[in-house]
Amino acid sequence: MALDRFTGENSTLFIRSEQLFDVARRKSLWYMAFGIACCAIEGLMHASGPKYDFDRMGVFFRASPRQADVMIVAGTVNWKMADTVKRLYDEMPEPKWVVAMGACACMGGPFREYPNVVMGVDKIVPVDVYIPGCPPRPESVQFGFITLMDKIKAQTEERLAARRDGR
Amino acid sequence: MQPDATVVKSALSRCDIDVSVQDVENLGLVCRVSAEDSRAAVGSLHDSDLAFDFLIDVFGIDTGGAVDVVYRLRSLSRDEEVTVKAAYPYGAALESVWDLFPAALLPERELAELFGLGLNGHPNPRRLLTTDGCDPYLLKSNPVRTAEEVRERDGQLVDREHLARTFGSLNAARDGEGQQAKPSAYRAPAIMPAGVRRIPTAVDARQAEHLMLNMGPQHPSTHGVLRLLLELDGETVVAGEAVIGYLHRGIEKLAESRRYGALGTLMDRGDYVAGIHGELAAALATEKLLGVEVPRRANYLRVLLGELNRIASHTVWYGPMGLDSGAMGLFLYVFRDREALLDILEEITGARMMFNYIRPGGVLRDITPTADAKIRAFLDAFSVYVEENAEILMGNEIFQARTQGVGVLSRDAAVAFGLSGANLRASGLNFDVRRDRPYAAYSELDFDVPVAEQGDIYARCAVRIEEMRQSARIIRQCLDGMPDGEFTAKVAKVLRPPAGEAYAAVESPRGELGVHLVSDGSDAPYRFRYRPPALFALGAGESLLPGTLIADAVVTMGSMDLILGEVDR
Repeated sequence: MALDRFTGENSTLFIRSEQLFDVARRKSLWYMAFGIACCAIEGLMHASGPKYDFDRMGVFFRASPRQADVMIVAGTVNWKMADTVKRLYDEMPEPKWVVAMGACACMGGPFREYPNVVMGVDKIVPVDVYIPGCPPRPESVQFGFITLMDKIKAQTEERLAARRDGR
Repeated sequence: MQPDATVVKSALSRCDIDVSVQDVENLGLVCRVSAEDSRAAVGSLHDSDLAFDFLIDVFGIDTGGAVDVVYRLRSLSRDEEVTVKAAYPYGAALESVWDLFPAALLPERELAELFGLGLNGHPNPRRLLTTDGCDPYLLKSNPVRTAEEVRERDGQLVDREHLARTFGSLNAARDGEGQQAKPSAYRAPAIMPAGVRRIPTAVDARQAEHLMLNMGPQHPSTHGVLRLLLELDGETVVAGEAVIGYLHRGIEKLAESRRYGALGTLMDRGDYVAGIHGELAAALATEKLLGVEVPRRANYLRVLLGELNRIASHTVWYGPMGLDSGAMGLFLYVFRDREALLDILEEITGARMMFNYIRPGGVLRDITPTADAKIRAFLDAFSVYVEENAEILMGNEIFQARTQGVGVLSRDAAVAFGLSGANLRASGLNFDVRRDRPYAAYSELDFDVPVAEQGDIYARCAVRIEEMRQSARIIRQCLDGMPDGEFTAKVAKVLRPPAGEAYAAVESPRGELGVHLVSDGSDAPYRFRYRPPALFALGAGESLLPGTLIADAVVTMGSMDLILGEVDR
């Protein structure tokens, strides 16, 4: 295990459970296989395909929202889809994160003028990471996930610091 | 190509239909009939000796005082095309022609909904693309959002009224209004497709109820946001209905506020795995209106890119086809090939998926020597890989058992449902836009059009695999025979084609991708119609559902090669 490298073999490690959980969460961000539009080809299929290989970051797809940690909103959300997006988000167990992938999910993209299109998925669900691009390259999606991991780490540290200060 | 005007006129007059026949440039023969006669006119063209048995498209044009309903018909046996137009007043009821052309089932619903028309004689006259309460967007009286409205995005937090309408109970429960909330507007419809009634069956002398299964829009094997409502008796599908519109984002409407040179950006996002073909169709239609002569080199570049894109598109179909039928490994193999293709496409166009490379008049930039070397290297590798991939899936005994004789579309059904492309050719009909209506440089190139007779899933796979081989052949010819010259004609920065109409079709990986362009002389199209081959394939796939097993339903729908961006537009 990679931890051995830091602690030496057969060593005992003390860690707060919440810290441990956050490490685990960071390293196994399973996303929901929910591709809406063009971005799904790049962000879900190519990113997890043989060249970009999302698995090495611990990012893997789950078919059910109940097993997923992250929802990648990959595509244009319209008012007919909005219900489903919201419902799927509600079905995911806590803690959960949302990645808005592509211009459409961020703010409506090239379709923002059409009245049936939701101008950004943040109107429906809270978004943690926005990935610009139309569509973003698989590398961008991976960078987005690294950003998300950093964000989770920062949240832990913030929480611990707050407790230390007795806030 | 074009029937004799007098013959068409006499065929229609024999049925007491008052008709004016006109030969319109870039469009062919246009018969204008009254709204009351439209069904009879289409019917008599279908039944007469002219044998117009294939509905290419049905759509509407808001002419300012009425809605022009346009039927575009083709006679496959005589290889002729004709357009029928009928002006319906706003809010009138459209007479359905679905019993003559089952292909009209879905497009008619779309037309009625987006133009605010009623629908008479249709088995399922409900909304297709939008939710209740949405306006008929394609009418000119419903403008798109203004720049100010878009800019105010962050100020206006949530459209409360629309949310309440769409979410119903979901939101209410969240806001603590809780138990009293009205049920969500999201409800499984009680009506199923024509001719199917919900009857409890007797299994082992027990009464068993049918199960309604809602598959999608979030389902890994529906290839996007297709939603299938299935009525199941055990594992057998009794009735099935496709619910679409989850990706309806108004490509046709938005095109009316885009310049002609920018239509490609919208077409890229319509059929998003074969953007080049969409761009090409839009560019061809624009060029027809403008009367621009495209340089020969540009035509070769268009074909080159189009065929590269065709292979890339078929890989996206082929890999998930394996996933649908339970073969995981193939997906990884074909995505290796697709990565190489996207690398080439990026080298030439600058983008992996949304190229906007083909512009009216030619292409955006010339091919580089690096790209040429890359393509040749890819072709050498691909000639091995395509056989390997074909063997992995098509040579697999389990796959053969699951697909041979399953999802059979007969020749007549394929014609009736307006199928095109590989789906049509797998049913034994030999029609290819590239060969029969040559565009770009196809008339100078040598390629075979694969045809299969069985019409089952296996045949569709076989045809597409052969198409990939032929594409590789065409690409090699393009590279070797690439003529010198300009890669684009001299066209104005802002295109203002003269008023008129044009129809241009290309053979996209999914079939005949047509663009019907109406210009009023300004810098943006008056009406832009995108004929989506996948929508017609969906209608045919829907008709295959009753009687299949649920696992076969997944493979059947997968084999039609649906791209939901194109179905919903």
